[in-house]
Amino acid sequence: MSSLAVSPPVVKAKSLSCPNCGGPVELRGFAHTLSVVCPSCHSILDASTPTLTLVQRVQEAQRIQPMIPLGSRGKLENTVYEVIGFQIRDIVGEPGEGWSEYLLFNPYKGFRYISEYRNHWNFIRVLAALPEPTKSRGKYAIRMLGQTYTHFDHADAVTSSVLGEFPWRVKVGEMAQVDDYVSPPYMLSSEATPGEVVWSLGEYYTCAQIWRAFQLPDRVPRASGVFANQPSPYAGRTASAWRLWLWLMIALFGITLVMGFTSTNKEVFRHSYSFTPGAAGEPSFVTDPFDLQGRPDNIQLEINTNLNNNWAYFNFALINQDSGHGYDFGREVSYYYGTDSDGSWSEGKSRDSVILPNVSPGRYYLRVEPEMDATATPMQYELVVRRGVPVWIWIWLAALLLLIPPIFIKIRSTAFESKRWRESDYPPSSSSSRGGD
Amino acid sequence: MSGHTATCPNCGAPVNFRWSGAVQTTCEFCHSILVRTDLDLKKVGQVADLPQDSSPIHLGTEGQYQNRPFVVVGRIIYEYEQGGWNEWHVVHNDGTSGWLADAQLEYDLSFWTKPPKPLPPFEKVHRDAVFQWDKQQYRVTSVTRAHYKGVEGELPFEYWDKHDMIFADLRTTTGEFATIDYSENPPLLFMGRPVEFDDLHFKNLREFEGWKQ
Amino acid sequence: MRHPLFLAYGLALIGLLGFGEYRGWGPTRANELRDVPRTIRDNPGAYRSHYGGYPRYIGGK
Repeated sequence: MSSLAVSPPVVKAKSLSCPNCGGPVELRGFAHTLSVVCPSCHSILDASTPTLTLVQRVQEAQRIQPMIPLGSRGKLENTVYEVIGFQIRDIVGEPGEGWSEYLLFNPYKGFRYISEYRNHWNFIRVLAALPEPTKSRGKYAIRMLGQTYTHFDHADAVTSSVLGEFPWRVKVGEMAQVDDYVSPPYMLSSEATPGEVVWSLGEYYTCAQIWRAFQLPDRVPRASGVFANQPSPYAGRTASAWRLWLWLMIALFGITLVMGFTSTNKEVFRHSYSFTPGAAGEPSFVTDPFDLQGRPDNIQLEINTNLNNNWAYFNFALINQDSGHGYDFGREVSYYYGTDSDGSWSEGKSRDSVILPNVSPGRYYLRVEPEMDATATPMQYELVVRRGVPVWIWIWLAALLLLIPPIFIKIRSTAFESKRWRESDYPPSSSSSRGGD
Repeated sequence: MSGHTATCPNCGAPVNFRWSGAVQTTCEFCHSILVRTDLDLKKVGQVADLPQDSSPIHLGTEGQYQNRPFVVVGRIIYEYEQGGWNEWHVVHNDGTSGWLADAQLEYDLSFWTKPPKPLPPFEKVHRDAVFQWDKQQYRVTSVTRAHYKGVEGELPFEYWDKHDMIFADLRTTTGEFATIDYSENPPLLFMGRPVEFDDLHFKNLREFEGWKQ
Repeated sequence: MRHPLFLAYGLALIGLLGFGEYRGWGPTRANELRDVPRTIRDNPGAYRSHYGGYPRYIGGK
């Protein structure tokens, strides 16, 4: 197969003169450009004919200075694009809420857009796909090519300033109905004019990424607030934090089992007594000695009484017979019950138990001094001492403390999402905030 | 695919056919529109100077779609109220041909398809109308009235004396694409998909000053 | 490793718990005594409780 005898010439940018001011106009979008703004007088010119014709003279309050100058080239998604157009879109009824759009061009890959709002950026391309209206968590949403985007806001956008070239006919003052749907980091937008609806998909970019892509020299500005499709730094972290919590709880449960099976839990003393309040003689007494063996560990003292609508107070001293060291403490046991108009009730318990931590091994005895109301009936009670019992309260405390990090992350994530949706048409109310991850 | 050579009846230059199914072609040198008859070529018209074009594709560009190589052999330039677009006539090795719509470098590749059932009449076609084919819902996304701005290369039919044409574009939620050409009777159906530049693995593209491919 | 701090915190907590259980740590404290004379065994009444100031139970519901 022979090749073409006449191969097409290299495409060059056309240089023309502005019909309004005579200044030079270069068409860097080649033959795609339908409208171009004269760089000198800022009139909008029709570029669809071989010579330029005037479309609109523009009165400008001030010179607009795009953050990325026209003619800049940058690499995004592995392709070099040139900034050939720029426009500012304002929202009808909300002055100061507008955003900027940059038109990017590559003669092979085509056109893309980057939008900028308060230093939040999006890299956008037009989609040729059909949306399906749907609902997501009670909010109006769109399903497009397998992904669901939740409605974020609606605005009437008006083009207020233009610079550079466009592959369509632009006019200052032209209006479109814009709807945004988000699925961070993506934002699906629809632009409706009386003639048609155009869908486009944007991906969030930070200022730093854009500055790096276009190699802009000045300092990277900071973005303010949370943008519609800005990815959450907590995305997925809440779920993974809870997963780690689950593993830690399993480890905690494991330790608990080990504790339960390996604790000494040995009964070293048990004796029954009776006490008659008001009886003559010394109420205090000392028990027979008992041995506490092994490493320093806790002991548990259990008091079982037959108290019946009464109280008793016990002064205890656990004394090491050899060293004279010991511990001094008191316990109160009270148990009351009855019935009234609401049914039966009870208060307190007829038994008590206390754990003394870190008791060194040795030979010990207890000094006991009970007290009761002088008129009370005599009490029968039993004292039981166990060595090395498991202390369950620490397990509960650890379980509680383990909850702190995942709850903290969830709170931060919800706060971030609240900030995001505050800018939308669905700001979270103070009474109920439905933040997602 | 045959490489058949004939002679231009107007200027005598050699005319190469890349495609055996070509009914019409243009002479690269004198831009005459030539139609194949049983014996030889007949001049039926003249192409006016083609409008300025910045598509990276030109006649002779090669590409590949889903592992099937193709060559660009012809082109129709359409113009409508809001601008224009190219329809590139692409041909596979086995002789089957398709259309690569190129509108501001957004591409849709479609092939003539025998309609699975009678196509909706033109009166029923408007934006957002829905039709069911192949168990899929096709929704009309645009109805465009366009006319020829120019032709180039090998085309499967005689494409030079039509005036206004009406196209209805339809899409599905899964990315299928269809076009109905209502300028013929019965209307013609073309079905396909939007395609990315990278997915077509082009070779032999145009060069642009200041741009690396 | 998405949560290195959380993991370190959790393991430290569980480790501390295990060690505390091994040493028998408990939440309650008792006053420590020193040099309790052996004579208390013969005369328990002579011992003065350091845990003074017991608020007498008022009684009743």
